[in-house]
Order: sequence, then C-alpha cells, then structure tokens
Amino acid sequence: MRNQKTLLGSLLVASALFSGCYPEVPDYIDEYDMTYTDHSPSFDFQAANTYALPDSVVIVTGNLANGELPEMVAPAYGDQILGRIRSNLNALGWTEVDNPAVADVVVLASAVKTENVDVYYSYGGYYGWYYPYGGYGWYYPGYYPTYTSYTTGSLIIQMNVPSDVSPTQNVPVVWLSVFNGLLEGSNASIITRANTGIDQAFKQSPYLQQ
Amino acid sequence: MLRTILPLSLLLGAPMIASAQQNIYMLEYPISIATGDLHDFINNPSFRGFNFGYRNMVDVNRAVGIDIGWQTFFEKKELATYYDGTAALTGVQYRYTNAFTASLQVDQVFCDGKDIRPFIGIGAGTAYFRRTLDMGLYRLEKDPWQFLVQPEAGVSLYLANGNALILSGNYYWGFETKQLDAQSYMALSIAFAFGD
Repeated sequence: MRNQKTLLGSLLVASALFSGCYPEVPDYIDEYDMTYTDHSPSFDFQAANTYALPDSVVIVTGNLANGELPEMVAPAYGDQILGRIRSNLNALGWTEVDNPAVADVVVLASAVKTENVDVYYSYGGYYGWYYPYGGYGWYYPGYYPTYTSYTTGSLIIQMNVPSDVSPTQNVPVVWLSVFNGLLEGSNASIITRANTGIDQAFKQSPYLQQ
Repeated sequence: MLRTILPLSLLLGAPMIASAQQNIYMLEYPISIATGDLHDFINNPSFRGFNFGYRNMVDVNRAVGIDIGWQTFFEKKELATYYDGTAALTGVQYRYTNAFTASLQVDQVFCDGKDIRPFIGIGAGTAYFRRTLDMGLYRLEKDPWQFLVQPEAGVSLYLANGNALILSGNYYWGFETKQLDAQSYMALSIAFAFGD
C-alpha cells in the first residue's frame, strides 16, 4: 500500500510536470504583433494611381469637441511612420500629389492606445481639420473590420476616396490596415515594429500594385 | 537511491495486474498523435497527457470499467498570413487543444492463466475538447462536448505481486458537433496496473 501511495504521488507530480493546458506562450513582445488588412472588392485599385498623405499621424484619444484639433504623434516618430507608408506606396507604383482634392485616394494614418475604440465611428471628426469638406463621416462600403476594440496599441492606415462622397456625406474607405501590438519597450523599438507592420500590410495587399 | 529511482521508473510506465484480481486500477502515460481535423489544426505529437483506468473482471476473460484521460496538444505556427475573403491577417499563432475524455469500456482478454494476455476493447462516453488559438493579443476558443468512441487493443505483461505492465493502443474519436468538426487522435500508452 505504501508503494502504491508513492506511485500515486509520483504520478501526480509527473502529470503536473508533463501536462499543462497551455505549455508555451510568446517569449518576445513582437510575437504579439499582428497585421490586419481588408479592402473593398468592388474598388478598382488599378484605376487609381495618385494619393495624398497628411503630414501628421493622429492620436485617437476619444471624441473631440467641435473645432478642437486632435492630438498628433510627435513628428520625430510620425514622420518615420508616414515615410514608411510613402515609400511602400511609391514602390507599388503610386504617385503622391500635394492636393488631396485632386488625389484618387487619401491615405490617413492614426494611432490608438486606448481600449474599446470603434474604428468605424471614430474618424468622422478627426480629419475635419484636414479636408475642406470637414464634417463628413466615414463608412466602409459593404464590409466592416472584424474587431472593434484595441486593448493596447494600434497603428491604423486607411485609404479613402474623396471623390466618391455618398449622399449622406460619407467618404468610402476602400483599404484598411491595422497593426496591433503591445506598447512595450523603447519608442525606437516600437517604431521599428510599426515599420515592420506597415511593410507587412502592403506586402499582404498585392492588389494595391499599379 | 532505489527509493528515488523506483517511483521515477513507474512514471515512465512500470507495471502490474493480477489475473485473479477482481478490481484493476491503471495509471497510464500516453503519447498521442492527432488525426483528422485535430491534425489539421495541430500536427505535433503530444507527450503531455495522463490517463486513469479501472476494470472489474466480470469473468476470467471479460472486463468492464472506465477510462478517464487528459491530453494536451500544442503547436506554434511561425509568422504567417491567413486569408479570409478580402481580409488578411499576419501574426504568430499559438495553437492548443486540451482533450478531456471519459468512457465506459468493455474488454475481451485472451490467454487466461498466462503471463502475457492480449486484449481488445471498445468504449463509449464523452470528450470535452478545448481548442484555443492565440494570435497577437487575441484568443479564439471553441470548447465542445462530443460523443466519444474509444476502441483499444493491447497486451498485459504480468510482473509480480499482482502488478502488471500494460502496453496499448487507443483511438479516441469525438463526433462532430455544430461548434467543431470531429476530433480524433491515436494514443500509444504504457500503464502501470495493480489490483486490490
């Protein structure tokens, strides 16, 4: 009987050692990084070849009062993000123009570091400062992001068609990218990871090639 | 030293069973290989598991009892892109499936009175599969209960003092549910058996 108790005890220890519901979890921060893209299947990306890019990355912090300007990512980091977006678009054959009113698409970048931010409803007011048609909302033409909240940090890039304003004053978003990850480490390392995410977003969107 | 080594050797499968005993208890270490849909999800073999079994010898050649088991499957998928319609998602995936099984078993045992006794059996019961997919900061989880069928075949090797070593192969087949396709895996096990 004593031997049997020893055996049982040993087996319990063994089961604890060899068994585990979740035997491994990510070891490095970048293993939590994820890049999501989606696009409108009805939009002809080959028919559009010029883009406009704002000179700042907006920080989405919540609803803004009428006329209030949004907070921006510091230029030291925002410029790197915008530069990466620009180089990817140029490499795909797109041509940048200064005037968003004549661009085929407008590419907007924003950063989120709060929870429960709904992408669809968050943009109407944020870019009012940038466009002459301020006050327009934004909508997704027939599809929506699969998730709507962000528990840590996200860099969101969207491609809009300013010439295709709907009767309800919405501007379609024809391409969307969300890079999501932990906001841990130095700013430089976060920017490096964000750049990797930007590259990946364009890499997994071959239909953007001109 | 022997007292230390002995329990460790038992962990890896040491042995017992008694041909004349009514009640037999089995402590089993299985190594499992996923099949079917489970294999599509995780194709690594699992070395993490543990089973407990009980049999009552209703006559010299037939036993009935229960099997209870736990097996954990795991696979890390390196950075890759997954597509769903117009959407694409890139990241590192951690995939887990935990299988908890319980079944009533009936075994036919051959070669009464011999030290080596082959057996075959069949059982039915239930299995709880917890399938977890971690990607980035998000987790997708399905955890159905499925009807379980468990055929088995093996051989018991009588040792001494009513103890035996049992080597067996088991197939676990959980039937498809609305939530998840049929989950199945094959286990090769070594068990330590003893009677009262």
